[in-house]
Amino acid sequence: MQNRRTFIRSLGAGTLGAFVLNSPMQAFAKSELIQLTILHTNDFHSHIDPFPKDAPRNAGEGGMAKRAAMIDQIRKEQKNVLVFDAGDIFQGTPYFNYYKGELELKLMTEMGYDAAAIGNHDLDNGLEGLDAQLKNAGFPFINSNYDFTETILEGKILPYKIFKKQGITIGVYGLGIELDGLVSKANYGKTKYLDPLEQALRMEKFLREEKKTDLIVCLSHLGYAYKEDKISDVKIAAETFHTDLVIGGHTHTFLKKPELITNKSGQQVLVNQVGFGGLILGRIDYFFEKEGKKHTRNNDNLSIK
Amino acid sequence: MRIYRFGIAIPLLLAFLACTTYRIEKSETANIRLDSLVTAPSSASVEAIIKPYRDKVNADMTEVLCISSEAMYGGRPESPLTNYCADLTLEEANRFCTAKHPEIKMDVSMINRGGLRIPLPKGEIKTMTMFELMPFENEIVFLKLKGEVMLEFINHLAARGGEGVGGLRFGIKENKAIQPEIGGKPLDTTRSYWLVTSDYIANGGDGSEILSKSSERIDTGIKARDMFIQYFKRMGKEGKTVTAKTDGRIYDAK
Ligand SMILES: [Zn+2]
Repeated sequence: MQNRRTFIRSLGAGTLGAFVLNSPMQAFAKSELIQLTILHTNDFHSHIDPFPKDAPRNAGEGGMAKRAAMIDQIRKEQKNVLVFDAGDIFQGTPYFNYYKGELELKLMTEMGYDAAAIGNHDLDNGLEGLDAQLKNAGFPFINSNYDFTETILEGKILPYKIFKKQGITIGVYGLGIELDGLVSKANYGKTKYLDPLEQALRMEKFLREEKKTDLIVCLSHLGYAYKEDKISDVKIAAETFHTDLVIGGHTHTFLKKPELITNKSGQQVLVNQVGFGGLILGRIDYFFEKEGKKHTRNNDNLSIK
Repeated sequence: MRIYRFGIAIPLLLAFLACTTYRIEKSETANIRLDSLVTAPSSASVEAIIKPYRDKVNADMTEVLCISSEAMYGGRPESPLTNYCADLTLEEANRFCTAKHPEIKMDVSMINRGGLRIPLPKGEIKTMTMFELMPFENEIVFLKLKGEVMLEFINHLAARGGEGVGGLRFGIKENKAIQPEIGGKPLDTTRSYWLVTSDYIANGGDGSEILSKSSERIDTGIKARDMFIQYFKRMGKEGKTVTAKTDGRIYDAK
């Protein structure tokens, strides 16, 4: 695996280097920044309605109608919005038992979700159960480390997707947790679980070096971090070279703000996770500048609204 | 300097394409609580989609199945909740056998403690309560086990400190089962027994891999929760009150 610097060098070309440094594009470069707003949820577990009024915790909070209104409001203010979910959409309220995920996916479609990762509970009705509901999802499920080749989901789950917003390209890949021991064998069938880190390294290299994306996002259902030596959202951030943002799930971790992790290229990566039950909407705004000007990325600018 | 990428094909493809190269200048983050402080009203379009689904679910969920005279809590080695749920599983399974499999009869039931997610409340038991008690989509499975396999399974239950069992009695000594009795008689390793449990356990969940050694398996296709709902509904119709007890079916043997 090359890091970004050797990548640049290997392309080599004094011509390219010179081109970049003395690019005529600098003449075009404008000083205003382009803002990209990424909104995200994870583990909302069929919490269609707000938590009940008599719930011991979070009474009256959450609910998809409120989330939808919040997303609508942000869309009114922002031109470039992407909405992601990091998995475990299914299971947790009778809505799932009754309608098997139909309502969750219809509502996410109505809200304009752009993509979702696959969580272990999204397979609670088996591969067939997820397959049967895909027609209700107007957005793709993205997973890069489950090999569905010999299953009913073959060709129906994207290994990655590239989004384009006002010229900015955003590459998204997805990671799922080890199924054995967590999901019954009958439910995952012949799905092959591939090493998440290996697939992350493969996807990010591809997305940056071949697809030239400006921002690389990992939708992870691995879990935030573990005491034992187990792959996690934080490990993915630390052990990769090009991934800029890890949107995590599974451990229902409530982060007050995203964690900053130093990656293999020595750069700071954001890792975020917003608990469970649709109580919180994660928001990350990136401000992009056209390449060619010398600017240091200032992580001190990272502020919590 | 953080360079995100270079427009590689640029020298060939004209400079204009290089315009499509961007670099993160800064980022800001905010995790927004969707609580009462959020001023945004609820989305009317989303509300409209939810309503028919909600109405149907609510009508079903609030149906009172029966009345419980006391709250039932789960625990180990035995507990009112685990005993009660295992007993009703054995009773309902045998009701099903009488109708569909008259040639067999369940001897032992096992419902895992971890699968019962809430205590059963005192008072009204509603359909909703059943969904909270058993949120997962487990199905009822019948397994025929040779006596020695059953014994190994019981030892596994002892090592776990006890689980929800019906038709079975044993002591736990040094993490092993002693004096196991099935149907009131000492376990006989020369014969076979039928066990009713969930597909989760039958498939090796909670460390019960030993059950892969069953000599016969019947997948009933009945959801455990549906079975519970049916049972509690009948209790209500018959005017019976749900009461819990512990009876020393699993005990610490010193
Ligand atoms: Zn999960």
